[in-house]
Amino acid sequence: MMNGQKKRGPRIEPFRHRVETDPKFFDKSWRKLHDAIREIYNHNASGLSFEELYRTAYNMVLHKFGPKLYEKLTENMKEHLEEMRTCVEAAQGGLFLEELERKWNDHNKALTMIRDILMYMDRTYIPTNKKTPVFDLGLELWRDTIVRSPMIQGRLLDTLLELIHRERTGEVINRCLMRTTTKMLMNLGSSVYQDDFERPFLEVSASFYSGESQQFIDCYSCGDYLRLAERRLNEESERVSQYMDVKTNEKITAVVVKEMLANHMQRLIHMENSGLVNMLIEDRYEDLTRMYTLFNHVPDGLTAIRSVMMSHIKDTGKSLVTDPERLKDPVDFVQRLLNEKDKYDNIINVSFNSDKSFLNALNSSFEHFINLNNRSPEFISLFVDDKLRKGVKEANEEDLETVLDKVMMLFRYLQEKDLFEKYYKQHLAKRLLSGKTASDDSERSMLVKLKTECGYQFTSKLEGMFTDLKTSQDTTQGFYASTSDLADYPQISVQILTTGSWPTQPCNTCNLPPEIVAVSEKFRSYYLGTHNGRRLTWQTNMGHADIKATFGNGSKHELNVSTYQMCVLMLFNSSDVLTYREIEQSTAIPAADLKRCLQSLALVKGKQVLRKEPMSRDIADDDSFCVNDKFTSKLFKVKIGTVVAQKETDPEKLETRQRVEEDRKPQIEAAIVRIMKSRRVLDHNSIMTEVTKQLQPRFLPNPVVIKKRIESLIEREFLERDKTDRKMYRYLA
Amino acid sequence: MWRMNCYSSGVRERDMGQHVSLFLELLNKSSSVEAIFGAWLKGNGRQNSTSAKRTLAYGYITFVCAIMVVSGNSISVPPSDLGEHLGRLLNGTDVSFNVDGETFHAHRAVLAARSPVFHVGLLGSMAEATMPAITLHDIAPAVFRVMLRFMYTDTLPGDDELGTSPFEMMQHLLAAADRCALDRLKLLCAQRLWDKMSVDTVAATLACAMYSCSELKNKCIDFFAAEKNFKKAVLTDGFLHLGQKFPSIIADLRERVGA
Repeated sequence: MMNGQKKRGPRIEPFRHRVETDPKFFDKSWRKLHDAIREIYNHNASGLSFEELYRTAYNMVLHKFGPKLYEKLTENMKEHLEEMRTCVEAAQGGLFLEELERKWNDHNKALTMIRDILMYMDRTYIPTNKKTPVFDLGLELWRDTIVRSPMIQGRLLDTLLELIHRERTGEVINRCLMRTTTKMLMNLGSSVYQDDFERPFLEVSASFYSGESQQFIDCYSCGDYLRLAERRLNEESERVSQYMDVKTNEKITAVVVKEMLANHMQRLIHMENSGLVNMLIEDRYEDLTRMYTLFNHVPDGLTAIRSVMMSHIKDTGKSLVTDPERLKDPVDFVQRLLNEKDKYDNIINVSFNSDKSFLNALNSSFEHFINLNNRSPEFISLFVDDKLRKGVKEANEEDLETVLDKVMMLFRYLQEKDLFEKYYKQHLAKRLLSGKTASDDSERSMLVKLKTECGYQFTSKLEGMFTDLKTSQDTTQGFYASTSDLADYPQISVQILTTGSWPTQPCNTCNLPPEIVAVSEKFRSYYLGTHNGRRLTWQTNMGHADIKATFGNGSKHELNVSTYQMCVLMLFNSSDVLTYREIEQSTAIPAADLKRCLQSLALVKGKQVLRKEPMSRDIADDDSFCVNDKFTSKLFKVKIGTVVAQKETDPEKLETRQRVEEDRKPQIEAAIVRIMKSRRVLDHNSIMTEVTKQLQPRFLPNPVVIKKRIESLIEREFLERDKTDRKMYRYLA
Repeated sequence: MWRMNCYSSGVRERDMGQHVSLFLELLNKSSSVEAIFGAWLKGNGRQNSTSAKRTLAYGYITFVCAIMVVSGNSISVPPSDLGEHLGRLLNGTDVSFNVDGETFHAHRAVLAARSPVFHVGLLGSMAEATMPAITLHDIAPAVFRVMLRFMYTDTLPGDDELGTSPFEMMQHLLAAADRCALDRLKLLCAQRLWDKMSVDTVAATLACAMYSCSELKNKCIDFFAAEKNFKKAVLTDGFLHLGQKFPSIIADLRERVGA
């Protein structure tokens, strides 16, 4: 590192501060610096001696000439800048920005070198006296002398805005120059950038986009307009990234959103033939996605979309459930509901980002209109019934699972779940008893779903039905194993239904054919032998039989018929012709059922096992019936009119509803008692609210009914009214 | 992994439950480690202690335990030797300084790294950046030598290597360091000067530190103003010169002494 002289004890002068006695010291020193600065601004710095200049400035500061030096410096830089300003002002047209940039670069270079020379002052005098450092001083002077000079300030802004406008209308501009110019403004301080450029830029942009939106909102469809808005937003973002401060991005986006979207939001959403509703109807995913993304930026934008979607769903749903045509086919009715749900699930997942608030809106819309039709519970049960029957299209178990899961979604919307339960029980019973279940596994799977949704008590009786059938199988087997004396009798298979688990059906037993009576009595005694204290009642309105029939034309068939039909047909073993009245008397089948039965035997094309005289549809007392000896069928086994779950006739409907209302009364009472027991004293309105809340999973209680129940409970001394406040009730232990 | 074992009634039967025992146990028996372990009672605001008999406040007592692992399975790293290495760098010099007849060779990059002033001069855009030899004014060769050594090694030699008058050398060096923006060197000099502080030296030191080093200046004034020093210091020649050259110092002193 050093190969100076060998070390000897060097003689050092005692330290003494130099005292400057020359009165011209400052002027001479300043002259040196002044000339050097001039050379620097003239691009002649390479010939200057840094050592000398630095030392000069150092000595000036050391001798307490800091303030004067600073003052001179300021003056001097101003002079140079004023010269530069003249050049910039003189530049013509397009060369204006270029000249500005050139001078800016020159000034920056010069400033750096000046700062270096004056480094000692920057480190000592300036901080101590809280002066602006040299470099920052240079920037301030630039700002005040040039950028904010009257001749230049306005022209600079106008030039920049003009170029941006041209770019917006499709021209290509010099982005590099734009970038260096805005960078210069940023370097002068964020307030310079904001005041001298950004704020006016945003104002001008606002009026530009206001005009743009006016121009196109009248003639563009909603989808096209949104596409335009999206394009403009992207353009502006790109523009900012190319030649503006990154913080401007947020602000210009807000401007475009406001002018192009927020100001026209309602008009866009409700635009005829192309607005939101059309997009929903036509499943226009791309347009919907775009609308969602764009309106997300607008305050309350998504709320607007959501509420329009909701009212549309409610409207279409309402017309669906109240359309009399639709009500003729329950399975189709439910299928349409499922389709509608699928449609909107897809739209929300694809276009609305699976937004939870939209899913909630969808759910509440469905909940609203499904309950507008009080047959919805029945129809949904019929739909499930259709799916769980033999011979169903969804042979695939997985697909069936999916469908049932979707149906459960609809089930959740029902307010009257207890009504559904009643119907489901009826339909399940019919399926089980007629042996028409497609798959035991699917039935059980459905039960599990209901149990998960509604709890154990909902499904316990339903499970009881399955158990009964299994037990019955075993019992029948046991019956046949117990005696060999049964060869001469028709073979029977018995299903023993525990009362209470199965839907109650009033049944008047009819007169069974003697062969049947015999074997069934044998069974009865067998059963009662092993099950003490029970009572068996034959349900002749259910059940079916297989009859071997030989017709007059020689054709032999096996007929699968209901019990009632069997009773009727067996009569013809002993008589050729019978009138309606005679049949009625012999069989003791209830009139309505008997008429239906005879109609299905005599009037259904291809299944006319009997002939009716006259051929009319209605059955009068004197109409006569006989076996149709001309009966033919391609199949050996012929099924005659299975007992299919029909949607109820009006009187049946009324009856079911009445039963449901009856069942609700004890449930309401139980809820009232539960609540009062824990709260002891409660006012009328609170009871109403609490009871409704508790029963909500099953049904929506009628306030009038609740009131009646309270009265009844008071009568039975479970509750009492408060003596002073008639609206308060008290629990009586 | 460490475990604290706490025996609330002590560990030895003969102590009859009169104290609480705390043991520190190293759980992974496979390694061995040296550690310092301390434990004390957390006092209520005042002192922590190991043996105070205290009544429990609200039934709680807090033990504070500290474990410091001294050595163990770690790799020892020697201290920095950058200065040493740079100090031995003889080749690759690309600039030479003429200081009052003596020549010193150096590396631009090293000097530029150590001082912003040299950085601009040696690597900037003025004449010196391209001159192979540079003349320095207003600095003694001996002083420059020491400063140069500092820039490479980051150390100051002891007084015995500083020539016949180390005290003067320090003063010159202080000023030079201030001029060349070598702040650490400046403070090292200030420290040396402060170490030699006495009623005889305070005036000279203060004169030197006046504009170059405010820390040292303040300490000198404090020293001056201290009662036991003032009377003697005020009578030295140095003080006389001080008062002549820097009248403002009298005002500072007056303020400090609180006259």
